Amino acid sequence: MDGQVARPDSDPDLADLLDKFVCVRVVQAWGLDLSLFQFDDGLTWSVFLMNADRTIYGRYGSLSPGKAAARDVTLEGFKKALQGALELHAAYPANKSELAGKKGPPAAWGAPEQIPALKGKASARNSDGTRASCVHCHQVGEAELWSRRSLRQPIRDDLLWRYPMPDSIGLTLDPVERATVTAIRPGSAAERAGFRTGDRIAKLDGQPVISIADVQWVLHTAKVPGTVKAEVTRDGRSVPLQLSLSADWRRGDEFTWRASTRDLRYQVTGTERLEPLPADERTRLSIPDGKMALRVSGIAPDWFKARNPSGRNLKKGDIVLAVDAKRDLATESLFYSHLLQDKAPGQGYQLTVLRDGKPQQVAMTLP
Amino acid sequence: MRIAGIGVGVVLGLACLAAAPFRSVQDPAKEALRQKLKDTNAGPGWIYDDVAQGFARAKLTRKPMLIVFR
Repeated sequence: MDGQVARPDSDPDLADLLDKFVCVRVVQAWGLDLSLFQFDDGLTWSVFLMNADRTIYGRYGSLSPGKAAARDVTLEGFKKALQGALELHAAYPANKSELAGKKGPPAAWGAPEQIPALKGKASARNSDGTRASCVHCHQVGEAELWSRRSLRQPIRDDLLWRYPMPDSIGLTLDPVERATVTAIRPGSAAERAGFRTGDRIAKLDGQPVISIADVQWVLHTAKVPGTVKAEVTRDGRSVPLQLSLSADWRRGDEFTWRASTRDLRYQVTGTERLEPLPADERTRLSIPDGKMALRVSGIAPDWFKARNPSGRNLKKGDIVLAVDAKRDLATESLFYSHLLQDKAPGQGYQLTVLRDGKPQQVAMTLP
Repeated sequence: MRIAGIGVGVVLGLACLAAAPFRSVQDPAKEALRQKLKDTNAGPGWIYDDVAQGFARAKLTRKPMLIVFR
């Protein structure tokens, strides 16, 4: 996708569309205005469509976990997002007020250089005077998380479950046809709101929607508990809907599939991924449904040992059954969110694990 | 005459900025960054790693901006 967009030689339609924009390619984040450019920093390719006065028309770029990732970004969908942005540009500034919500509140730190965990790295220079290191977008998000921890600031759900995909509220959207619903999960918030297959989401929270990323932006910034107004186009008519979000709606989803979680695992538990035990193994070990059973798939590399206070207390193959006797953290996301949200830096905790078939207690300390 | 000459100069300068090719090719620091990152997708016509220049050109040309974060 990146190469096709950067050099659209084989796609005259795309080339013609791109010619209507001033195209900028950003490859590192030093000096980036973090208040203006708020987006899913876990993406390897993300797009802002905007006016020269910094009004945002829309975002493009989404990522689902694992094999689903390939479905989220398509060249045809991208071209339709560009067309959507051109329509918004043509109508500007009459539509300025409904675009205001596409810009977020001021960021905690205005630029990566100001984030405590990154301070000093921007000014480091090589012997030839060039900057010693780049900082990439995902590093900004990681640095923000650890800086908040160091400052004893609360780690809210939206800092972990970032930029939720529409699937999290039960919507599957077409990656080609600008935020059009292709499926609705029974019993989901989307079904209760009245979404139907074929609906095209024209507005969400009053903001025009030109991509799946625009839907993610509204979900990411939604006040909870609360209601998000939607306007869908259905059979040529505009239909208003209301989407209700509970206080903990994000927690039904996972966030640990993100590449940035590797750093979190290394620092917090000194491990690779904690994988849920398959059903047959749970049955064999008599572990009830809904109770914790996460297997340590591997141990962090040697060079990380010094940064993890618990060293190598956990072993590959350990099955984690409880944290301080708490057994209902059934997913890796709930496990790490509990440690980051409910425990302070430097605080100790006990893990109950099955090691070689025998239960034992493992003492851990949070960084 | 002098004022008219200055006016013509400003117009020509603005026209050059609007029509200027991809400045970053000529910007040694940006070219060094591109080579360091082995970024082979820095296409012609794109402004390279310079958002400020992007805003300036968009203001001048009245085109919308497309900013790729890669």
